[in-house]
Amino acid sequence: MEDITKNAKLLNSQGCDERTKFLMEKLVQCLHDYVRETRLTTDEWMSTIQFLTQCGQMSTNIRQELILLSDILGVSALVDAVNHPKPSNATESTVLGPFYTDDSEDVANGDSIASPGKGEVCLVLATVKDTKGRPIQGAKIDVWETDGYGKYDNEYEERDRPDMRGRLTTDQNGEFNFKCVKPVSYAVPTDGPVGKLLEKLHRHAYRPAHIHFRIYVPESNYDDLVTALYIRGDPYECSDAVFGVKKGLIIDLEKATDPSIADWLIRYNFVLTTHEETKTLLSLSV
Amino acid sequence: MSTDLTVENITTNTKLLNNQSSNDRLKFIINSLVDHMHAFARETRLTTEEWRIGLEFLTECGQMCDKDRQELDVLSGVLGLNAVVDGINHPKFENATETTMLGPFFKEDAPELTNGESIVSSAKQDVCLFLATVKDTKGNAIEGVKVDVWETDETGHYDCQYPDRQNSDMRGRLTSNQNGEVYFKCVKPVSYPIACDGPVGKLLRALNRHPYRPAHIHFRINDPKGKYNELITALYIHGDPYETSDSVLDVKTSLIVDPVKINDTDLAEKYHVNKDDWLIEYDFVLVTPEELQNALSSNANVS
Repeated sequence: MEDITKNAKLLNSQGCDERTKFLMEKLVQCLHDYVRETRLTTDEWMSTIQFLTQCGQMSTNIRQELILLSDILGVSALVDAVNHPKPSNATESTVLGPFYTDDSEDVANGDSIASPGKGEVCLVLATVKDTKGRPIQGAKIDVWETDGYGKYDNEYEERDRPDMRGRLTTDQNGEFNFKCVKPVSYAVPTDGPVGKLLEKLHRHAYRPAHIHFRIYVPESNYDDLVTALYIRGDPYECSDAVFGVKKGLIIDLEKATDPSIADWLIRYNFVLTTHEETKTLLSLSV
Repeated sequence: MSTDLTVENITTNTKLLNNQSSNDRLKFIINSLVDHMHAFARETRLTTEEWRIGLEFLTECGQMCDKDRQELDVLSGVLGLNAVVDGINHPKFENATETTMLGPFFKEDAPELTNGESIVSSAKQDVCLFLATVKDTKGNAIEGVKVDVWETDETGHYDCQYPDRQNSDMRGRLTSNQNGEVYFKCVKPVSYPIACDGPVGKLLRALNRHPYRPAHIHFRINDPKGKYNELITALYIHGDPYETSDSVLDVKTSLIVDPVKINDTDLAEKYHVNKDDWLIEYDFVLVTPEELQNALSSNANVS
């Protein structure tokens, strides 16, 4: 029995590349330790295999149940963090999530990313700067969010063109601004095995209200930044079902002063890192 | 839950949310899983691409499954997880026979045979006489236990892998006599590869691992009176090229047997076999539920 782990590692080290060998060795050790530590019963293990099978069978090109499982176990957020270390003055990253699409249309500064009537109007005033505080001109910003009902455009059966999403560009002061729908909290899909697991754990399925951002500067040495901003005071602020919230990404929703323009106002200053800054951090954290 | 949402405490926060469950066992196993998976991601500095490949791999395994194929079980096999789970749930107890996994090829429809009959339908090469006893840990013979036996044909295929399976073959259910004896004829077991036309097969190739299981014959021994625990095990043929590299890591030294040529006219006559047929002998030892419980709790104390 004690030899099984050793033997499994031996079988896995017969000539694959070093990285694969290392990953397999650690994976085998981690899973065997898990089974031994919990003294997992045969029935529990069979249920686990059944559970993973159902997750696989539920998945399609628009529904990825195993990613959702990884999300609710905090693994996705952790992998994101491991891969995107940030200096303390840079904007933290979060996971891209399953609702990003690459067909966002260009939106001019000041315009709305949502068609009329999708929810309360929110104005976002933002800048993109480097870690030294210098504005970055020409940064592209993909923004996406749900409508006032908590649904992304690609969750509706009919979708003629993108909505509640758009692509902005910073001006010479590193500024960009747009109108959008005041973000609302919404539940991750609960009609599959992961939903059942959440229920058994007495966990809710909600993500706190947020807006997604993907910021990249073409032909530059700035790192892409995938992040989101979360609204302070949301009932799920401290219990995001997929662990995307980070302190530095929680923002205050202000009442707009001129209701003819917008109901709400968000301000945020994004800070990008360069490849060199990240490389330094990665070598430090090894 | 904590409001200090940072990378450092993501593991703690995940466990805090899971702690809302009222099922203590579920809470324990899910949080242990979170600890181990997070440690794995941190320790390997798993890249986003590797993580994505891993989840896609699990998805493919799930999608390959149907009623005849359980790819995630095959995965669990090649990672040695099935063997560890089996070992934990069936700790070795004194002289009792060690267990192995049931495997995916057990079928309920094996014919009832009397001692001496063959489990194989037609004459095949390498006939093998199997002489066994079933006893308790004190050495007392156990009468009336049901012994399910199943194996592949000489080409390494179970009957359920035939495209046109009509009747069961290479399987049978025997009953021990008053001396605890069970004997039957079978085909000398051969090694065979596990299913490798799916994602797990790809994984094995990427790892430069062969897919073979060493030659073996399966047993499920059941006491209808319920006095003894069910024993699921298999016997492995000594000298098989894959004896020490079973792709699903299920061989145990005490389960390796050495077939010999019968070479004894009296014995051959007694069992209606030929002198140059093969002979395997094995004495199975069953445990009682009380004995197993004692072994489990003393193991729990150790760990």
